[in-house]
Amino acid sequence: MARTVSILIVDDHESIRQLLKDRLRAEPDMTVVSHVDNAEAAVVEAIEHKPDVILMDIDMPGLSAFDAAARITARCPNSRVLFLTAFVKDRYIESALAAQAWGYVTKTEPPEAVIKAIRDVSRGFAYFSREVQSRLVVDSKGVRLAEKGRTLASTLTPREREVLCYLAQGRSKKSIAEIMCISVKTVDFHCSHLMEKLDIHDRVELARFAIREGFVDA
Amino acid sequence: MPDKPIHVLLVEDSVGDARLLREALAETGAGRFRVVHVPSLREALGALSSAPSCEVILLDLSLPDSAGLETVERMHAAASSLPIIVLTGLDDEQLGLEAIRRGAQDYLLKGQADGRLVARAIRHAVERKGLELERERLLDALGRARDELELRVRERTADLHRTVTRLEAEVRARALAEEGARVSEMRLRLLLEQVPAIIWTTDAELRVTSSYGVGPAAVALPPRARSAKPAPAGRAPEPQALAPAAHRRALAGESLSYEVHLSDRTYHCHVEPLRSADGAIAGCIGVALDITEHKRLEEQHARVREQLHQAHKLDMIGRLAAGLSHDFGNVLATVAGYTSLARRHLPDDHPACRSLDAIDEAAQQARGMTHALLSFGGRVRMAKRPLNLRAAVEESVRLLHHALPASVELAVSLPEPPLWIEADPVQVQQVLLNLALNARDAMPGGGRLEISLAPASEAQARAVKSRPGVSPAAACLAVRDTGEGMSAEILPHVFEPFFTTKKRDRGTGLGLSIVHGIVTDLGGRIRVASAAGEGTTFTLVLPCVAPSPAAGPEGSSAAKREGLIALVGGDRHVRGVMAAALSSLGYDVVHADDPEALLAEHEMCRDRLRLVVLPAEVLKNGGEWFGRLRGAEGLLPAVVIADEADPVAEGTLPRGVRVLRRPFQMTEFRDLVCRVLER
Repeated sequence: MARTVSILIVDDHESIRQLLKDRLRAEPDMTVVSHVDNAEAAVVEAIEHKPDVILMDIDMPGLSAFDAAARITARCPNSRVLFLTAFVKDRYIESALAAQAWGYVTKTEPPEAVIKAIRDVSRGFAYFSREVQSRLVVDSKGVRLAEKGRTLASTLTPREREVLCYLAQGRSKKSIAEIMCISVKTVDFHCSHLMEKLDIHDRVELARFAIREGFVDA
Repeated sequence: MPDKPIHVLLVEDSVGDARLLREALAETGAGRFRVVHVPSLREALGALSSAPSCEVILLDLSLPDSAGLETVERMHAAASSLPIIVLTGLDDEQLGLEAIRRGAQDYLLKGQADGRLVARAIRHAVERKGLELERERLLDALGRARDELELRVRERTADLHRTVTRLEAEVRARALAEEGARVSEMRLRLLLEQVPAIIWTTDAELRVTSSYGVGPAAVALPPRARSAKPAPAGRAPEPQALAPAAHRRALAGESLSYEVHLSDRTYHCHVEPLRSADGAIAGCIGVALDITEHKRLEEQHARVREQLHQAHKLDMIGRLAAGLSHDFGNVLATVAGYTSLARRHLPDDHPACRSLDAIDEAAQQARGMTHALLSFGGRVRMAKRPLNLRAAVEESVRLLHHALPASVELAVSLPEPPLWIEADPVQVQQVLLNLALNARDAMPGGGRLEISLAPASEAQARAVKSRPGVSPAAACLAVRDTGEGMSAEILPHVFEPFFTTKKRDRGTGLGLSIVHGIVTDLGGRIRVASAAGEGTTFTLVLPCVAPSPAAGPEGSSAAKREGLIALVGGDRHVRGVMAAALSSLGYDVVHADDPEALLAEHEMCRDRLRLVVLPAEVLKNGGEWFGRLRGAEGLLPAVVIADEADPVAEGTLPRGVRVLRRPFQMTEFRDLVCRVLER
């Protein structure tokens, strides 16, 4: 008889947690060991239960899901994180790969896709969409997105990313300088650099880019 | 009348000589000479100051207080205006000559001078000295006159120079003024030639007396007045555009501006009184500027502002949609999830199954709409890939069924075999939905909507950039309706952003521009054919691509391929990603951390094993197990994953073993596996 797959569900939406719990329990080879509504609790529960698969939402308040995934991977080498997300963004994929996640499944896919993904991941098969699969590159350090397909966003420094977030939120350079405790001139410097890298030269387009790439919520 | 006596100063230390001389002079006539005798130079000098009437000096050179030529010099210095006659000894003639050089008038030899000779010498000396003095006076006067003349010449020259400088400055100023006037004239001419303007003047009866510029046509002046030269006075026409009322007001002394519209053009005019030199109003002077273009730009700006406003509104809607769709997606996932759960508990023939299927389909459709909405707002990135256009059209048509009213008949014609293009399925969906919904709106009373897909003709394919070696080169997708159609005036504008013929609340005017943008992005072309009342046909030609060898049919799992592939060793995460890639090709895949575990698997399904994938380091540590795995014949192919710098080389490895160097893209890996196994 096939081994039972133990699963930890992490989603801040009560209805989704309940659905997944009900749906997965209908599968004879799956058991939901716990379900929590934030990434911080997920780390605690993963260490406690050492589930085979952690089905984790990306957009949650509090600790970043990717940080949680990295911690879980480090503490529980046999637990595999599978992300559940509303939309796929390049930045999500890059972060998921960096955290050694085993894949993602979108909420727009039918529930059967989630079940297949859990089953695949539990068997040691990563679960990425075919399109993303084509863009994956294996190098000596592991798996990453193809250079050519890498997002422009990944060329930004952490400081530039931060400035981009604030710009996209519609903040003035002065207010950004205050928040980041740097001079307006330095904000200007980051701003012109990131605009040059992204080849975007107006704030509306910058905001659109930031939203599309998941730097800020729409 | 007797001559006036000549006063003589005799300077002689010898009393005898003095007496002899006196006597000699007296012999020449009584009272002719009045002689004062002094014996020394000192006394002579004293006598000169006390007796200024002395007219001539007879001077002996050998005196008690002076001797020789020094005596002459001292005496001459003291009385330079008086003639001096030197008295010398017989043997001193040379000295006498020298004395003359030093200022003396004459010299007399003592002892030889009789009265007449001395008297004549005296008279000559006085006369000569007088002439000398006169000459000097004249020379002096002449010098002064010359100096004065030179001064006056200099002053006059300076005057002349000043005058010349002033004249030169005046000439230059005049030349500058003339040049300025010429340039000003040129500017005005250029302005009037290049700017659609006219300047005119009229007389007090409002007859045009002159007009300049290319604007006459603008203000509808007859051709005769349309030259850059003034129109001949007297034959001036009655201007049609001169706004008589405005001109009459100008004649009354008012300056005013007004606009006129003539022959589809708009002119800004300004007219004011034309005054003669005495200030009286002699007529009017006016200028008209063609501002049609300016007006058009103003209207265009207003339109662009409106479009910008629309775009901002859309952007806000996009943001709102993105925010909503996240939560909406969760709700849909819940609906679909529970539907699926309920379906599992029911047998297929249960009456509720149809309802559950309908709910599921609606949820799927809503998910597609959410995605389309997000992609429309640019919130999700389009991921182009080889796409089965037929399948994508079928999927869109499925969504369309729900969007079309019953009065619209939908006819779909799709070809066999499939046509592949490189696109995101959402792009195809957006194109078809936009075109179909436009068609629906064009058929308010119902009609027929045809969607047909077929290989493009050669002529059509030539219009797009096709990929070499792909056949057919392009796909032709046509959307045809039997609706109202569009007029020839509307047709050229249909792909312009924000162009809409729908009511304000019905359309954004973006649909067809989005379609155009997508088709262009896909390297294709779109054409529209329409006539009022005869329906509209949009024809899209999209370049085809070859399906990649690894690509299975879109939307379904990969076609099952025969055989088992084993992955052994290496990083689990990397192995998991590679295993998934092979699994998506349709192969069965097994994987293990180490060769022992794999051998256990292999024993169970040795017959089905077709390929082993392993990192180079695993191979190095266990040649023996690899041999066992490859079987007695050693024919089982293998792919060895090695770093760029790894010394492992294909030539040194057993036959059938291929090396794939890191880094590699997953598509390379899949292609290599396909090549190895399908050889």
